[in-house]
Amino acid sequence: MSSRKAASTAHRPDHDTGVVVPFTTPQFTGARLRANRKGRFELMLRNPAGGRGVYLVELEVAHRFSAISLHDRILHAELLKLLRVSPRGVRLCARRVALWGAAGQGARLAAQAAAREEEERVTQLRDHLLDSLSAAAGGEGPTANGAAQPRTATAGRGLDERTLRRAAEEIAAYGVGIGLPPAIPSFHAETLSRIAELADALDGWGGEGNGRSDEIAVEVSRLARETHAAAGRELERWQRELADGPALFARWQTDRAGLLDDLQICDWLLDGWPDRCALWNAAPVTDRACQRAALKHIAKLLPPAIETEREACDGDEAIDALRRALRESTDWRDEVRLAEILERQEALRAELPA
Amino acid sequence: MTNRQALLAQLTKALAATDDAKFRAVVAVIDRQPRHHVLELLIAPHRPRLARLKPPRPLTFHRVVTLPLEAALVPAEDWVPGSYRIPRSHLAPLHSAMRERLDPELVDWVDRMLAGKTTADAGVERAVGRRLWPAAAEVLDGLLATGRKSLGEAAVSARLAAHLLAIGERLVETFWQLPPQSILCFSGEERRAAIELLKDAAQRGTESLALVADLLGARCQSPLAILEPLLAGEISMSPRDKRECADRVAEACLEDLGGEIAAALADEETTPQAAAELVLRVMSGLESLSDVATKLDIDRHAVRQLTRRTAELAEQVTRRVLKQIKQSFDDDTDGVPLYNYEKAARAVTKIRLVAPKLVIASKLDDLLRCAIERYTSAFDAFLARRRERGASTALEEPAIMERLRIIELLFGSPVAVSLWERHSGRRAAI
Repeated sequence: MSSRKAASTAHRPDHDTGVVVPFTTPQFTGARLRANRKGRFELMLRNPAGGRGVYLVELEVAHRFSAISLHDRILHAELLKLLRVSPRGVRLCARRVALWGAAGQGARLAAQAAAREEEERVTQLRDHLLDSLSAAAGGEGPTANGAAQPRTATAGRGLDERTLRRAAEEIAAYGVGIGLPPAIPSFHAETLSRIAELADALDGWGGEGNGRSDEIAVEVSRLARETHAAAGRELERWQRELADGPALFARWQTDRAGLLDDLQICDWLLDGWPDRCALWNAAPVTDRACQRAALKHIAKLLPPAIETEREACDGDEAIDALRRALRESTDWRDEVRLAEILERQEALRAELPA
Repeated sequence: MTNRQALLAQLTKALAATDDAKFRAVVAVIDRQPRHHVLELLIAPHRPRLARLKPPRPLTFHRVVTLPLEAALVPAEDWVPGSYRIPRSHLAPLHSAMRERLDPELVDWVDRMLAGKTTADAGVERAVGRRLWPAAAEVLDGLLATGRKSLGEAAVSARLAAHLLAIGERLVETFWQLPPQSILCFSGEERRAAIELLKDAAQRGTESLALVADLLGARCQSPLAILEPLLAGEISMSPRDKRECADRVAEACLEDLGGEIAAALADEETTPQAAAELVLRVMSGLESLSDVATKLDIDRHAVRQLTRRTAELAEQVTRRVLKQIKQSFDDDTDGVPLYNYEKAARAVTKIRLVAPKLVIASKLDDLLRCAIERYTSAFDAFLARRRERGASTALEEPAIMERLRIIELLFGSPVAVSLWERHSGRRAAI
């Protein structure tokens, strides 16, 4: 297997590989959203015939694929509302659609739980930021909700209370994945520990003469370790930064966009890993057949190799190829398989922290 | 009932009520006990759950030697003498016979290798099996030739076990390689692996071949899927023997399927899911049969009858589900949440996909076409009633979205998507 671009993104996110979109339509498995050179959104789809190369479809026309699921059609409409491509933006769109119930009741409940948990942590982080600012400005110690102290904290900073609160809310919303352990648990740290477990499990899994599955296991393990190291370093750095509330507020005033982008570095580095870990964890540790199936699915979620992009097809050609692939699978057994894949994708949504 | 039995029954019942995480924890605690064999009684009634969860268990001589036999194991009460299955109750005498007669050095080596390992250590399991399984097969072959009586009732299973142990490594590898879900038809890699296994089995004779064919067939939606690989030219056995073996598989399978369809038709309580799975299994089997029809002596009348009865069941279930869901679909009180019907709707999806292969395809298509109209009109009417009541008609409302989901599951994504696009004012799909 060739080396993938993710390997070279040790410290900075690679926007070219895009963001994984949790589509449920089987033909869209592993689709990635990115902005192309003209700044337009496009989807990178794997070759539906299973061969090399990727299909690049402008997001605006992706809904023309006739077999698109209701969930994906709605998600597609939500993605079109985004101004920029980011893992956070895609995640929030997907969560919104899941909350409406388009991926079924299980995914809806999971999204509700995830939204609740995130909201709690955002509030905690916001309060922490306001408290730290207050303490730095010589306030009378931390407050529970940041309501009274900010006035003291704003002194000398030229920010009114409302703006300060908005800044804290925004920084907390973008930095919630980073967290401030032990007081505020980190979503990213949780993902990192799942990635480490996955890499350990795959290291012990290889070498059983399973051919292609062995190769995938080695590759996924390598990528997992690289991601773990890179994202781990970034996470530590950003936890230190988050602890320094006054510096963050200062940067927010002068370079808001840059700060919000930087707060998402870990999101970029960890993009797609919760899905891969969930797929692996769903297979019982002693069920080799299940684990092989999970590995094949995980391989589809890895970023495509750089060289395959040279063989990319665009727009209408891509939609036609998808339609052709659909027409070619006239055997009812293939269609039953696709229906089962759709069912499994929806079930997986229920397993993930949406 | 003695006190011990009563306590056991109580604990078994309590274990049944625990969630999966607690169940795994209890199994782990039992496995850590020095006298875990006694405590195994507690989890014995939960074998189906163990098979589903597959928690890592300590690797032992017994577990490794049983691995190639697993596909053939059945609970003692389900065992039919003469079938290609081994009752669990025969395992103990087989284990002791093998352990007693195996080379003590090999047994020591096995015990040393397995110490502290669990069933998650696949590499160790395979490495030990590679030496242990052929040796165990030899022991059983020897016993069957000379000391058959010492095995008592288990002698009949010893023969089957010897066949499986002799090809243990290939058998275990192949079963690990097959997809986890039941297979609709063998393709590519799976077909090649199945043929290799059948080739190895054929070297021990027709019984071994028929046994392995039966076990592979049990992993498929229909055992008839095994006919094509079985009749493939690569198996070194006379064409007559192969054909005889395939005829037996086909005949038994058609008879079983006919019985299952008749039972499902007679039982109004059959769930749509179970009925749809059965319809798929029959159709998958009939497809496999038609692939090799010219090479077999099959009762064509029986095949036609089975197809007709299957179509009858498909139609009956589709009508029942469409009627049942429609009642809740029209219900504005949200009495029964529609998501409770998702499984039934998915069953109709599967039946719809297989419909073109059934003789009544057009009948079923008409039925579904009429239903689409009824359901979409009902959806429009539901929105109109909400509007009148002043309730929100936003498509994101759970009561509205779950109706769209049901339409998607029953009639396919394009129907639901176009309905959503019409009501949301989005551009329709081209």
